[in-house]
Amino acid sequence: MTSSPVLSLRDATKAFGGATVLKSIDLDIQQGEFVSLLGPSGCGKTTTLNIIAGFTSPDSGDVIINGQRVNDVPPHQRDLGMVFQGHALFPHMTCFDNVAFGLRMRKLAPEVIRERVLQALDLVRLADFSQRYPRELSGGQQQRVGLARALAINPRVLLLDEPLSNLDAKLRRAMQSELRSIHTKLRTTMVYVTHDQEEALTLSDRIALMRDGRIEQIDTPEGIYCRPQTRFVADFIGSSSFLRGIVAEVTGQGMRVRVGDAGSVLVAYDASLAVGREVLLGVRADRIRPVVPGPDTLRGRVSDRIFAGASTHLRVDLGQGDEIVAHLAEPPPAELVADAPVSIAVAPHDWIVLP
Amino acid sequence: MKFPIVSYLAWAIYAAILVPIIMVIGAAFTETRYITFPPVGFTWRWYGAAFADSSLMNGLWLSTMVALASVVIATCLGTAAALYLERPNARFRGAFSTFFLAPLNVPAVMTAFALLLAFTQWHLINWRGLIIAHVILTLPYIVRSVLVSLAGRDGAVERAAAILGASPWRVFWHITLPIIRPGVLAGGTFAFLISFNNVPVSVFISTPGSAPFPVVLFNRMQWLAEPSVAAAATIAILSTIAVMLILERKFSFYRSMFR
Amino acid sequence: MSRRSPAVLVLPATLWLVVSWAWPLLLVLSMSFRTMDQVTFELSGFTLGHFRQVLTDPFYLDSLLRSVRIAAIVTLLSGLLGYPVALHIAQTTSQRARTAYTMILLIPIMISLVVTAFAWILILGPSGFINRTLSFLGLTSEPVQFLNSEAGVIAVLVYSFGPYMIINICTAIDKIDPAVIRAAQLHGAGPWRVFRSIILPLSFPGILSGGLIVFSLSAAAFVTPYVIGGNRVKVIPLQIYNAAVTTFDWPMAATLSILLLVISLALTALVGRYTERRFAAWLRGA
Repeated sequence: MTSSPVLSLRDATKAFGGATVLKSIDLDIQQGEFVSLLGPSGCGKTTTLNIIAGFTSPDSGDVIINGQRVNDVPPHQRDLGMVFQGHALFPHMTCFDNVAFGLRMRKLAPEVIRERVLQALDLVRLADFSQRYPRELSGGQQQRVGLARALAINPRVLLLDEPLSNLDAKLRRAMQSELRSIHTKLRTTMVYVTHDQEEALTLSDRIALMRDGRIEQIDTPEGIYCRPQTRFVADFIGSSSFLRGIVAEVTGQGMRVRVGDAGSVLVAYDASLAVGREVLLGVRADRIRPVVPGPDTLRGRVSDRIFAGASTHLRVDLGQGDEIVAHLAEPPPAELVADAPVSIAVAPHDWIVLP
Repeated sequence: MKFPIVSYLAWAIYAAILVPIIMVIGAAFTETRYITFPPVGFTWRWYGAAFADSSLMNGLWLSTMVALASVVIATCLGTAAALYLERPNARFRGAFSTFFLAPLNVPAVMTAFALLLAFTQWHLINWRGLIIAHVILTLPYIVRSVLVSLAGRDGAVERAAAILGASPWRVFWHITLPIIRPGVLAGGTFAFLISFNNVPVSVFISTPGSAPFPVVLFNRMQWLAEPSVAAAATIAILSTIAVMLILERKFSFYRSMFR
Repeated sequence: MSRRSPAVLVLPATLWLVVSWAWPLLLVLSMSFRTMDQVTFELSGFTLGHFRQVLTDPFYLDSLLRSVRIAAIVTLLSGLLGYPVALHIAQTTSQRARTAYTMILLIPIMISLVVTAFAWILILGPSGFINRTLSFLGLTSEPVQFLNSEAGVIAVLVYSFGPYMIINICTAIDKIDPAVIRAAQLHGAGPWRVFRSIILPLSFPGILSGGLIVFSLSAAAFVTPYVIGGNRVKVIPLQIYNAAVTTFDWPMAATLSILLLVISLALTALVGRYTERRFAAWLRGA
C-alpha cells in the first residue's frame, strides 16, 4: 500500500528543563491503523502523544497530519480525538452534553448533534445514560463516555493516553475487547499509549516500543515478540532469560553456540555471525523444557522451584553467573527441586540471537 | 490524642468571644436613653431610630454599593490574574504573586495615608475613590481564593475541551468558569465582607457627605449616648454573621479552612 | 501544559494596583523627604530632617516604644490564650463541631473594628459591665479606667487579632503526622510529655507565623487605640492619623508610615529567615 500516512512525525525532538525527552522520533501511521506506543515510564510516549495533539510543540521536527505540517496549528483546530487516563469528563454537564460538546463547538445543527450523540453513546452501549452526570457513573462507564465523546466528532486520528490504567484487571480486559470491536467496526486510526505489554500485544496492528526518547523497534505484535532486535525489546516483552555464548561451529542444521560450562545449543543460522563471535542468547521462559541429558542441552542445577498457579517456575543456575528461568505449563518431575541437577533444551528457532 | 483540660479553656475563650456580641445585641433593646447592659426593658424603637437616621442609612447604602462594585471589579481583575499565575511556567510568576498579595503585608494605615495623598491630588475623595481603594483591599483575597479553586480542578478537563475544538476563550467560558464558579463566588462573598466592614482605609478617604457605614459609626463613637448606635452596630454584626452562615451553607467555606 | 497564559490576563490587575496603590506609596516615600508648608501645602526641598526627628525626638521614640510594647504583649497574650483553642479545634474529630468552632473564632476578625470597639466600650466603660460588676461586688468604689488606657487597648487588640494566631497554630498542629504521636505514646509518653515534646515544638512554625501576623496588625492598628484609648494611648499609627487628618503635617505622617513599614518588613524577613533555617528541613520532610 503506497497511500500516504494519515499521521507522521519527522525527526521530532523535545527537551524539558535540561533533559531531552524525545530524540529524533520518526513515525508514520497509516489510515485505519491501531498503533501502540509502548514503553516504561519516562520513555517519552506520553510526550509524543501530547506533541501529536498539540499540547506541546517539538523543539525541532515536524508533525504532519494528512500531508499538512501542523506544528503551528493549536489543538482545537487539529480535528483529533483524545481519550484521557482519568476520563476527564466535564463534571458540570450530563453525558449527553459531554458527548455533544465537540459537535457544538463545530456549530452543527441541533438535530445532527442529537443523532450523532445518540449514535456514539449507542456504540459504547450507554444510550440510556445520556441524562446522567459523570459522578453518577462507574469508572468503566465514565471511560466509555469519554470514548464516545472523542469518537462523536469523527476525528482524523483518535489518541488514547493510557485510558485503561485506572481500571481494575477484569474491567480492563472487558474494555480492551470493546476497543477492538469498535476499531474493527469504525476503522478509525488510533494511537494508543500504554505501559502494559499485554494490552499492546492484544490491541495493536503495530507496536512502537520506546525507550529513553527513542523508538527501539516498531513492528507487528508478532514481530516484536518473536523477532526482537535488541536486548531491551526482548527483555521488555514477555519473560526472558539471557545467556552469553560464543559461536563454536556452523553445521548443516544451523550454528552451534557454546554457553560457558553448561554445554552448547543449536541456533538458527545467521550469516553475519562468524565462528568465535560472542553473542547474547535470549529465550522466552515458556520455550524451555527440562530434558534428559544429551547433546545440545544445557546442564545446570535447580536453584528454586515456585508454584505459580497456571505454571511452575523453575530457576536454573548454569554456572558462571548464567541463570535461566523456565515457566512450565506442565508440572516438572518431582525430583526437580532445589539443588537437583537438571538439563534443559530449547528448540533452535526459539533462541533469540542478539549481537 | 485528646487533652480534656483544653476543652474548658477553649470554651472559656469561645464564651469570651461571644459575650461582647451578645452585649451589643442586648443593649440595643434597652428602653433607657443611655446604653446599658443588661438592657432595661425591651423595645424596638432604637432600631427604628437607626433606620430613620439618614447618615446611617446612607452609610449602609454606600457601603453596600461600594462593596458590590469593588468585588465585581476585583473578581474580574483577580480571576484573570489568577488564571495567568496558575501555570507553573508563567513569566515573573513569583514577583506577580508577591505583588498581588502585598496589600495584605503593608500596614493598613500606610495604604490609607497613601491613598489620601494621591486621591486628594486627583479629586477622588468620593465614592469613586472608595471603590478604587476597596478593589485594592479585596484583590489579594480574590486572587488567593481563585488560585485555590483553580488548583483543585482536573487540568485534563481543559485539554479535553481543547482537543474537541474549543478555542482558549471557549475552554475558559464553557469549562473552567463553571467549574471554579463556586470558589469564585465564595471568594467574592468573603471579599464583600472585607470591603463592607473595612475601617482604616475608609476613614482616611471619606468625607462627611460620603461615609461608609463603619466610618459613620466611627464618627459616632464620640457621642455614644444613644442606644441607636447599638442598634446600628447590631445590624452590622448580624448581617456579617448572616453572610458567614451563607458562606458556610452554600460553599462549605469554613469547613475547608483547615486542610 | 507548556502553553503559557497570555500576559494580557495579568495586566489589568497589575495596572490597577500600580497606578492606584504602588504610585501613591511612592508619593508617601517622596513626601517623607520633603518639607511642606502647612498653609499652602506647597512641597519643597529634600531633607532627612523628618527621619532624624522621628528617631531622636523622645515624643516619637516614646510612641515607637509604646507601639512595640503593645504589639508584643498582644502577641504574647494571643499565643497563650489562643493555643488552647487551637489545640481544642485540632483535636475535635466531628467535622460539624469543628466548623462551628471555626466560625465562632472568626467572628472577631470578620466584624468591623468599630463594632468591636463599641462592644468593648460596653464592657470596659466606666458604667460598663466590668465596672458595674466590680462595684456590685463591692470591690471598687470608683470605676476603674479601662478605657483610655493601654490595658484596654491591649485587651481589644487581643480580641480582634487573636484569631489569626489560633488559625495558624491549628493549621500547624493539623499537619503533625498522627503516627508520630502514636509512636511517642507507644514509647511511654504521657499526655503532658506528648504535648511538651511533640506537639509544642512541631507547632512552633505556626506560632511564629501567627505571631508575625498578630504583631504586624497590632503595631499598625489605629482604629482600636483611637476608640478605646481615646487618642491618649499614643501609638505610631495614631500619630500618623493625627498628622494626616488633624494637623496636616503630611511629611511627618509619611515618615512615620515608612518607619512602620520598615519595622514590619524587617520583622517579616527575620521571622522568615529564622523559620527557613530552623524548620525548613523538617517542614519539607513532612
